[in-house]
Amino acid sequence: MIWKRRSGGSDRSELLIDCLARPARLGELAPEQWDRLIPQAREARLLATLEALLAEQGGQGRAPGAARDHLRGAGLAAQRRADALEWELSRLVTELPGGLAAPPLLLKGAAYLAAGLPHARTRHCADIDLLVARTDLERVERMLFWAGWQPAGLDAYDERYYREWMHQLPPLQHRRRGSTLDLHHNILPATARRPPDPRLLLDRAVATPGLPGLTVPAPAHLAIHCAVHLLADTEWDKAVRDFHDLDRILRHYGAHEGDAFWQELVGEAVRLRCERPVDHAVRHVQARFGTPVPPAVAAALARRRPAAPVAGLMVRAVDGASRPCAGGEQPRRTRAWRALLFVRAHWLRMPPLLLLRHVIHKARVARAEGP
Amino acid sequence: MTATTANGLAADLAGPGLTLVTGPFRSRIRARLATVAAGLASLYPPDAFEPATGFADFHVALDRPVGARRWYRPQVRFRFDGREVFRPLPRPQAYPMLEWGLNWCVTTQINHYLLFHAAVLARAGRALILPGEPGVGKSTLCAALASRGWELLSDEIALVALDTGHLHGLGRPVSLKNAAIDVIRRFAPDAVIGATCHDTLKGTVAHLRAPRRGALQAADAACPTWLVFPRFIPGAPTRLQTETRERGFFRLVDNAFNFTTLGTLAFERTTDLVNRSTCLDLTYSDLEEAVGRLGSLRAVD
Repeated sequence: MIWKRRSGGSDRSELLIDCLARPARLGELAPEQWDRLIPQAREARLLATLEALLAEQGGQGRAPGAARDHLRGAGLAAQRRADALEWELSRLVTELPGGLAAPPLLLKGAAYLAAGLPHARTRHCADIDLLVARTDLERVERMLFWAGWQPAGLDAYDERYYREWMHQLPPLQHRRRGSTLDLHHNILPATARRPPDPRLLLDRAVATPGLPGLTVPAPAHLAIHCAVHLLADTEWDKAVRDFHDLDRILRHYGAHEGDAFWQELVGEAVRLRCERPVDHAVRHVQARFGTPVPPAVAAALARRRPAAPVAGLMVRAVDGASRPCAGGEQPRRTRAWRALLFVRAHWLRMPPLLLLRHVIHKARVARAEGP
Repeated sequence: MTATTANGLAADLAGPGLTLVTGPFRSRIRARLATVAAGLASLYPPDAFEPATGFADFHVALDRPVGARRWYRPQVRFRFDGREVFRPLPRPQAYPMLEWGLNWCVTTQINHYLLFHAAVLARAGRALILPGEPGVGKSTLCAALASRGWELLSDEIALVALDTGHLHGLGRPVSLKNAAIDVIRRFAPDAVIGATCHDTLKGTVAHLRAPRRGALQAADAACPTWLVFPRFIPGAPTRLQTETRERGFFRLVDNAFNFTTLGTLAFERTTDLVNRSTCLDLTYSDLEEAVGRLGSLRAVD
């Protein structure tokens, strides 16, 4: 196959990212373009986000009715989910024990909502992520258990996988409400190559006015965790959404807090030993979403960048893997990049022997379950 | 203009794909399987087919899996937006798989309608809603009513518009299972029933082409008027009794697809639908009698 040169914004795979970067485009799309955009946004769980962007542009009248219907349906579902999440958080506040070493810290979607980030209400968020100090973990887990949060039925291997090697407990599900909660004690696995010190996040956490006893990460930490999570994660079909989160976080705090935010971003990335993922992710949103990043900040983040061939491969991999499969031009190539990053993420997550053991176990399980 | 013979459809399906217009939805379908083209040609009216251009709500493909199961005990897989959403099925079940897949598209991807698991028919713009889990005889009753003057809106999914509360037609064939296939053949000798497919997860299935135009145009919608909960009980006398609104509400919600997803809005719409309808409970074994009783329903305003 001939390697086609990327043709900037005209590439079909780029449509969703282009529209997120330049929402004004949404008012100008032809029906054929909507026909590709809706599946792409559906894959990335960004339909409700597009609805909000289209409304901000006042472009509703220019989109085909049927495409608008899909956005509207997703918008209604998102609204309801945000209400449900807020209610769930208000319950959680009453279920957590007092007198902890550090108040529990919300992460990701729930944190964006509690921090009042403008894009949070339309963002798809399936569960609540909560970080607690390692020393508080047992107590919090026990209190939550009595409040109805119980492990969602795992086998002994998965139980051990989470408890010994990962940075979170097995997912908890509420007995009556059915909601799910991930209880973390770090933002990267215990077995990772460079695990950060979670106390740094807890120490600088910001109180949430409406939710006494719960905190959200400091702005720089919100951005850093978003980047770290994105690159350590294996769900590349939702990568566009995560990059969009990072773009929104950087734009929001960049505009509201200016230099103080950017300086903290660089300083904290170093302290948390996360300069590399932050550099990869920030470079990507800058290039693809047009996120305004001060040149000095970009240069400071690039200090720990790997040698050019590795860095270049990473740019290509992240770019390739975050393209949509649905309505994209080359779903097979996208899948190949995703597979590569999946392997990379696991490589960084566990030491080689443990990884080998994990892979053999998962292969045996897959075979036993069979199609 | 797209060809509507089985051969013409097969060429389009294997090439650029075609658009199947049913009720308010446009499904873009690609398939390289002759049974799929034959099924579509026999079960949909010619004007349901359009070329593969413009916006489509759903993009689906039926194809042969990669690997041994392409040839050995051949299978077919269903893909939505390029993603495989079900386990593959034996190749002869390709056509039923398409119909099930299209239902899956509506029930999992659509939230701008309130959706119930129900058959819907209409007479002079007034809708008869028959909610029920599989096995209560809803499809059989629906097929029988559709062959006796009722307009078929939908066999499995009731589409309730969120702004008006009206019911919209889905314009798809009725899926008949097992004994119901012969029951309907006897009941309505003129009925057009597609190929019979054996040994599926639901037993033997065949689809009944919507009599007459079937698909109400998206613009025409029917006003909720009768909410009837049917149950087929072998040997039982036909009994059509008043059901309370409260019980009717809960029985309807039990059959909702996206009630929790839509929250308060769904609650308000459902309440409104129940309040506008006469709620009835129907047990029957004699199809002729059941159809007669429902046919004599009058709208009370």
